[in-house]
Order: sequence, then structure tokens, then C-alpha cells
Amino acid sequence: MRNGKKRRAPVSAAGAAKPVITLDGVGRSYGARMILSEVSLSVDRGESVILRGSNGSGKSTLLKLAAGIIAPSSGTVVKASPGLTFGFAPDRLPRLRMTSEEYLTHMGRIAGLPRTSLRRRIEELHSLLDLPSGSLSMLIHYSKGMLQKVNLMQACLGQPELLLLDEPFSGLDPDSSDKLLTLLHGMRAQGAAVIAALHDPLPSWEAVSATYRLREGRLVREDSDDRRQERHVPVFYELDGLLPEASRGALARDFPQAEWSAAGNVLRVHLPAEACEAFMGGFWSAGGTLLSLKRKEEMP
Amino acid sequence: MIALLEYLHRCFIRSYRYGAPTFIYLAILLLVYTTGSNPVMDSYAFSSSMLFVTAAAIGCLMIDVEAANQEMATLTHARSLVRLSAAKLLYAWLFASALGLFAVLYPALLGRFDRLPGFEELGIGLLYHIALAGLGVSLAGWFSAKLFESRFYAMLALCAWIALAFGSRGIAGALPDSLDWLTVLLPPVHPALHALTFYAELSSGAKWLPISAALLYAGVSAGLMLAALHKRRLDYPGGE
Repeated sequence: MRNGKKRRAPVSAAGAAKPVITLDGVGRSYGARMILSEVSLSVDRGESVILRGSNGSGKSTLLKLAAGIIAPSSGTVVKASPGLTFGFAPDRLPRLRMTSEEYLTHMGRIAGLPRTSLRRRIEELHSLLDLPSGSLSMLIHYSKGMLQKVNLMQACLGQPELLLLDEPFSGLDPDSSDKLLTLLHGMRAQGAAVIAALHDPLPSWEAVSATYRLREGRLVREDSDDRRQERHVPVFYELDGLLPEASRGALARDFPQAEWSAAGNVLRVHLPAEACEAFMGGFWSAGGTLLSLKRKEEMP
Repeated sequence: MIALLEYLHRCFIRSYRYGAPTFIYLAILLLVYTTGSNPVMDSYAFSSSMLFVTAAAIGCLMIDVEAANQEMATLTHARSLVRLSAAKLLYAWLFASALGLFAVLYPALLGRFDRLPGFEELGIGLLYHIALAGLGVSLAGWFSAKLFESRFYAMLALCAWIALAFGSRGIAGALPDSLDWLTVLLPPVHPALHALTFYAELSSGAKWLPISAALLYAGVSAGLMLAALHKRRLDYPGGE
């Protein structure tokens, strides 16, 4: 058990480079209530980590610990350097009586960014996340999705080396989610480490991320074979989508372990986790249209 | 720090949180000075004691001017809760000091005193207002949502502490001699008011002592509060 009394070395999400951040045996309690226990994790440059867990499982607490906003009750949080630049987007930004440009300019100035590059960066972020720049509308008049974009922009302002995001896709429409994904992929490619708490499946981000789940205060690698065998709970994916009749037979032959059902013209396929990636490749090649993809832990 | 002060100024002014304490203070001043022929330093004793209370209210409103999530985001840019909180206290002090400047100049310029005050009286009067404003702000930092689970109890405790400060002389008289020193823990408002009331009878050293005491108490109080916040970080009581 990784979270047993005997503390193990932190688990790196992938490589052997010097980690951007390391949590070593971190615990956090509020009074008698234990939120996190013996959490160990290290994240290198360019890596991304997804945190999953039910409401109140401690995802936000873990992000706040990583950001240094709250102190751990036990264990240590070590950043690569004291001057490490990081951005933190809380689960939502309150409606403020200032425009997005005013707010972001204030945040950038507080962070010590030069005025000229700050102005350029704010315009760039407005463009990347498709929010009109120069708007005189105050944040109190913004929708939930627009506020979330401003929240994400403030986190990404200073080209952070570590990005901590609490439910970043919450409130975003599919088009905006795609734009945010593009932004995150770009930042990751430039070397930023990203830790994001997510609820909804996000295949394109999961494909490049290590996924962990918080369960009873402990952090466990979601896609770990050891863990799955230990729990004896098979993981599978439930896909809803559209697929031309002609292509179904070939896919069914290639993936005999998949279970197929149909409701009208919508197909539902239950797939073992290990076959998901290959199946999706075949599904896209066959001209399939994905309606939803859900991760589940019990066979139907 | 300037960038933080600019941001806090925008937050505070646009939140209209300044409204109630500012307008009540200004209304009291206007009411008091409706009649002319007020004694100079006695009037300043009254207006500075009122400013002490007003500054405590402004400090309370300023320290919690940001919502929790907003404050977390600001903190990650400021990179120090001590710097952020110190900026809030400093802004509240500056704001309250501006009210103090008004309280000193308004009656003097509009002839509401029984005589024209001298430059020394104006200067010392302003310093007393600024010192008591700092004292009020430094107390307010302790009674915020960051250290109290209930805002109601925080306000109640602040009011009780302010009342004790005003009653320190009576408390000292009621306490046995061996416990007299306990009143040193109370904010030194009374010495300042006493010095202003009996200004003409005091030596020049005695005129400066209450200002120094108020500023020293404010500095220690604010320093301890910032150290407590540094240790606690943004761990709101009862929050997860």
C-alpha cells in the first residue's frame, strides 16, 4: 500500500527529471475530520495530472496545498525553486465590479509583469479563449462560462511553470472547452506542468495525463494495473455514438470483447479499459460520431 | 505594493463598503460642527476618538473585501499572504487617515472653532487622528472572517474590545493594584484623548508620548496579526 504508515518515495507522474512540485506524505485535517492522508505525488515539467474523486473527496484541498494557499497538517510540499511561477484557478471566480481587462491587468501588475507584455498577453488570452477584449461590461454581468474564462486567464497570465486548475471546464460550452484544451496542450508543450481536478471525462486530455483518484483521503493511480487487481473492480468505458452500418461488422470482429447494443440509430458499446484507445482509433477511422464516452467501474 | 494598493482601492471603492462608516463619520462631524465656537483640541479629541471607531470598521470591511476564491487568486499573484494582508491594512489606514485630514481641516477652514488654530495644533491634531486611525485598523485585522468563524461574533468581539479601550481608565481604577498592568494590554486610546483634552497643560514630550504609544501598539498588533495569518495561511475557520 502506497499510503501505509511506512512512507514511500513520492510517485512521479512519469519521468526522472527534477520535479516541478513534490508532495511527500502530505496530510490535511480539519479538526477531527481527515481530508487527505499520506498523499505523495511529484510532477515534472510538461506533465499533466488529472485528479478525480467525488464531491468533498479533497481535490480542491490538494490543489490549495500544492499552491501553498493552505498548509499541510503533515508531510511536506516542495517546489522546484522558491521562485517557481504558478497559476491557480479556483473552482469559480466571484462576480466582480470590474471589467475582465481591468481585473487581469491588476493581477498581472501584482505579479510584477511588465505593462507592455501584460497588455499583449491579455489580448492573446482573450483571443485564445474567444472572449471579447476591450469590453466595458463588468464581471458582475458575465455568464458562468465567461467568468470561468476570466478565471482561467488569470491563472495563465504569467506563463506559469505549474498550473493548478480546479474544475477548469465547469460552465464552458463544448467550443470553449476545445479552445481551453488547445491552450492547455500548448502550455504543456512549452513545459508547463498541469494539475487539474476534473469531474467529466475528457479523452483528449486523459490521453496525455496521469489520472489519480482521491478515495477516503488517499491518492491512488487510476490507471494502475496493480491497483485494479487489488480492488478487483474492472474498469470499462461506455461509448454512445453513431457509426455507419457497413463499418460495424469490421469493428465487432476486431474487438470481440466489446458489448454492443443500439437504441434507434445510436449505438452503445461497453469496452474494457485496455481496448478503449485502440477501439477509438478504429471508431474514428470508420467515420464514427462520438456522442459521449464515460468511464465506469462495474460491468453492466 | 503600489499595484496591490491600486487593486484594493478599486475593489473597495466599487464594493461601496466604505459607504456606511464614512458617511456616518462625516455626518457626525457635520452635526457636531453645525454650531461655531468649538474648542480646538477638545473637538479634535472627540473627532479622533470617533475616527478610531470608524477606522476599526473600515479595517474590518477592508480585510475581508475579497471573496474567498478571489483572495486565493490574488494571493497566487501576490505570492505572500503577509504582503497582501499588510496592503489591506495599509490601504485601510490611508483611507481612514484621509478622513482624519478632513476632520482636522474642515472645522478650521470653515471657522467652526472658537479661534483660529495654530500650525502646531493642526499638525499635532492630524498626527493624533492618523495614530488613532492606525490603532483602529490594527485591531480590526484580528476580528475578521479569517480568524473568526462567525462574522457576527467577530464584530461583537471587536465592539467589546473598543469599549474596553475607551473604559481602560475606569478598569484600571477598579482593578486591584497587582493587576493594574493588565490595562497595558488595552489599546492606548485614553492617553491620547486625555492629552488632547488637556493639551495646553502638557509638556512637549507628553504631547508626543500618546502618539508614539498608539503607533507602537498598532505596529505590534498588526505585526502579530500578520504573523498569525502567515502561520495559518488562507485557512478560513470551518472551511475545507
